[in-house]
Amino acid sequence: MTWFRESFGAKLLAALGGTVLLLLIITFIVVRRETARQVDIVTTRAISSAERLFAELTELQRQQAAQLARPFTEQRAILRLDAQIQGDDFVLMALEVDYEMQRAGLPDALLVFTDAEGQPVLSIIQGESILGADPAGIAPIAEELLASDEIDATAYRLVDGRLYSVTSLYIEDLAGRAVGTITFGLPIDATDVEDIGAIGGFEACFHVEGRCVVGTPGVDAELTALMNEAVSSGVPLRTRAGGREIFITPELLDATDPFQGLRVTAVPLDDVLVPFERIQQALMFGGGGALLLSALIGIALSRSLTRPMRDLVAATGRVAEGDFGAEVNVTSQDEMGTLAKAFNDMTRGLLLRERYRAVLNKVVSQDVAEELMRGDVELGGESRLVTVLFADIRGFTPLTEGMEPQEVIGLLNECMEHLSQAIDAEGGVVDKFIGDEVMAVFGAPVTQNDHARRAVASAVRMRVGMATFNAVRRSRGDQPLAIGVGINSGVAVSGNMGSSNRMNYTVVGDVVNLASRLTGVARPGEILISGATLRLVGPGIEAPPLGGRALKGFSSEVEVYAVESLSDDRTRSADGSPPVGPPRSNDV
Amino acid sequence: MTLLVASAWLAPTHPVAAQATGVIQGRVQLEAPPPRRRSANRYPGGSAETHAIQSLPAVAYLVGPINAGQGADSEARAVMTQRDTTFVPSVVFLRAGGSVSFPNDDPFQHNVYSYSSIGTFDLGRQNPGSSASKTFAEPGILEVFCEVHDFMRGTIVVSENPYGAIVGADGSFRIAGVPAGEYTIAFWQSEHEPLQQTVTVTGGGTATVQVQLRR
Repeated sequence: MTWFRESFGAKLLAALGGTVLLLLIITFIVVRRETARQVDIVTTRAISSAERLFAELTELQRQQAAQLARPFTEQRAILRLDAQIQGDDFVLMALEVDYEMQRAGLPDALLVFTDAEGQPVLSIIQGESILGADPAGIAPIAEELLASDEIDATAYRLVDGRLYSVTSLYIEDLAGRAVGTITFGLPIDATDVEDIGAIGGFEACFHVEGRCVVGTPGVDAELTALMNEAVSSGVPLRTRAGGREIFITPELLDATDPFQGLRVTAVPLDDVLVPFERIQQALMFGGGGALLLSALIGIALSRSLTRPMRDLVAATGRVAEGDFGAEVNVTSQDEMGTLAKAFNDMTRGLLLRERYRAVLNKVVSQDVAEELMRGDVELGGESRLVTVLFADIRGFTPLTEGMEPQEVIGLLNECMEHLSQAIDAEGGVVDKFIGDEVMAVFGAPVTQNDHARRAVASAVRMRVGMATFNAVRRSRGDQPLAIGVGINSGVAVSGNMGSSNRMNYTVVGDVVNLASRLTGVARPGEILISGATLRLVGPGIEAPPLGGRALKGFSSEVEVYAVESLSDDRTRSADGSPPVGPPRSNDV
Repeated sequence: MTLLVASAWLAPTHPVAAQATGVIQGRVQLEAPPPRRRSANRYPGGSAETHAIQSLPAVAYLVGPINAGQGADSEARAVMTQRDTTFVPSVVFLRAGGSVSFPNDDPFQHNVYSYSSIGTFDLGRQNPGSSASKTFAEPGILEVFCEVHDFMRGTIVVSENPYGAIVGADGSFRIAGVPAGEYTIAFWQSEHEPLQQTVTVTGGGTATVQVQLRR
C-alpha cells in the first residue's frame, strides 16, 4: 500500500484500469441482464406459441370429431340410435357404426357410445367392437358431460399405447331428453406433433403415464431423460442437451386432471443466446484489449509525468545542497513543461542571487551582505548616526615610482587586503577604495550601537596589521608602508546613490569630509579621531588630545585626538598578542 | 288449416242413429317445455337451427277395436302431403291396415322416413310431383320425418276405430258419436309422455276428461 500511496504511476494506472474495468463490468452486467430478458421473452413466446398451437390442434380435432360424429348425431341417427338403445339392439348398432366409420374413412378412430347414465354401451377401438365394457376410460368424461350444461367435452386418453384426443358429445332426443353421449377419439400421431414442433420451432412430447408417448423427431433418449426430469420436478428446467441450450417446460394437458398427462416442450435458446454470447466474447477480447491498452497508456503517461517529476525532485535536492546550477531538461509543452520552466527560472534566479551574494561579499562584510540579501536594509536616503573611517597609505606615490603597474596594483591590493580585513573584523563596510585610500562606514547600512568603538578598534587592528605586514616586507627587503587613519562620527546621509542603473551605497556629509581631513593631517601610523568619536567610544580609549587644528573646509578649529590604545578584547590580534595600548579600565 | 282438415275427417264418423251415442270432451294441458339449453345438432350442416320446427298438436283417440258400423273403411286411405317443407296435414288418423300416401308438392326432393317401432320405413328420395304410399297394419303412433329437412314433423295415428280428435290450440277437444260404453282414451304429443286413461260414455251424455301431459 505504501508503494501505491507513493507511486503516482500506480495511481494513474489504477484510475485508468479501474475506469475501463468499471465500464466493462457495467457493460457485462447490462448484456447479461438483457440476455436473461431476451431468453425470458423467447421462452415465454415459444411456450405460449406451443400452447396456442396445441390448443389449435385440440380445437381442430374437436371440430373434426364433431364433423365426423355428425352421421351419429344428426336427427335421423339419433332416432335410430334411440330406437336401437330402446330396443337393446347393439349388435345392429355396432354394425351400423362400423359401416359409418368405414364410410368416413376412419378405421382407426376411437368411438364410444354411452347411455344416458354415462355407461358405455359400445366401444369401437381400431375396428374392434366392445360391448358394455369401458376399455377407453370414457365413463368419467361422459358422466361429467351428462351432469353438466355443456354439449361437449375434450380430454386425452391413452388406449393401447396410442394417445387419443377425445371429444365427447352430448346427445338428446327430439323431445330434449338425454339419449347418451358419443365420444370420438382421433389419434395424436407423430406427424401432427412434428408439424407443430416445426411451426413453433421447438421439440415437444406428450408425456402420459410416466413416459413420452408421442413426440417430435428431435426428442431423443437424452432429451427424453431431461424431459422426464422436468416432469418429475414439475417445474421448468434450463439445461443443455446435444450441445444446445434448451428450456424445458412441462404443462398439464388438463389442469384439473393431472392423470391425463403432460405436454412437455423444449425450446432451443441458441438463437437468442448465440448473439449475446458473441457480444460477451467480443466484450471479453475487446475489454482485455482495452485494459491492456489502458495499462500501456497509463504506464507511458505516468512515465512521461513522473520522469520530469523525478528530474525535478533530483534537481530540487541539488538546489537544496547548494547547487544552483541544477536545471531540468523538460521539453514538453504541458503543465509539466511549465513547471520545469518555472523551476529552471527559479534556479537561475537563485544562481544569480548567489552570484550577487558572492559579489556582495567581496564588496561588503558578510553580515552586511546577508542583511542586504535578506532585504532588511533600507536602501534609501536616510540620516543616521555613523562613524566614518579613512585610511591612507602614506608616501605611496613616491614609493611606487619606477614600479611596474602590476606591481603597484599588487602592492595596493595586498595592503588594502589587510585594511579590509580589519574593517570586516569589526563589522564595518568598505565604502570605497580611492586610490591608496580606503573609506569605511560603521553603523550603516546595519545599525551598530557601538559604531564609533568598532571604527576605532578597526583602526587599531589596521595599525597592528600594518606592523605585521611591514615585518614581512622588511624581511623581504622592501620598504615598510605606513598609514594614516582619520575617524569621525556624526549624522550623515546614507543610501543608494548614483544613476538609475548603477548605484553605490554610501554616506555623504560633513562627517565624511571631516574624517577625510583628519586622515589628511594624520602622520604615518597615527589614528586621529574627532571629539564626537571619542565621546561615542566611551571608556577604555587612550587618546590624548592634540589640540585644535584648522582643517581645510572647516571654518573653526577642530579638536583632534590621537588614539594610542583601546582596551577591548576584540582588538586582540589573531596571534594572541596583547591589546594595543593599556588595558581598558572598567571605570567610566 | 290443420283443424279444418281434422273436422273434415271427423264429419263422416257420425254413427247410425239406431245406436245410442255420447260425446267425450275435455281439456289437455301440456307441460311447458323446459329451456332448451343444448343440442348436439348445432354443427355445420344441421338445418334444425335455422328453421322453426314444425309444431305438432296433441291428439286424443280411443284405443282398441270399437264396432263403429258403417263408414269404417273410409279412413283406410289418408294423404300427408309435403308442401312448403311442412307435412300437410301434420296429423292424420288412419284405420289399422290402411295406407298413407305421401305426395311431394314441393319443387325439390324430400325423403320421408320413420323409426317408430310400429312401422319403420324410409321412402328414399322423392322427386317433385311424385308420391309414395305405405300401409300400416299395427295400431300405434308413427312419427314421420324428412331426412333432408329435419325440422319437418308429422304424426300418423293408426287406430282400430275411427274415434279420435286433434286437441285445439286452447287445449280443448271433442269426440262425438261415441257408442255408449267404457273405453281407453289415449293422449299423445311428440314431446310429451303419452297418457292413457278410461272413460265411460253414456247414450246422449257427455263424458269430460281433463288431463295433463308431462314431458
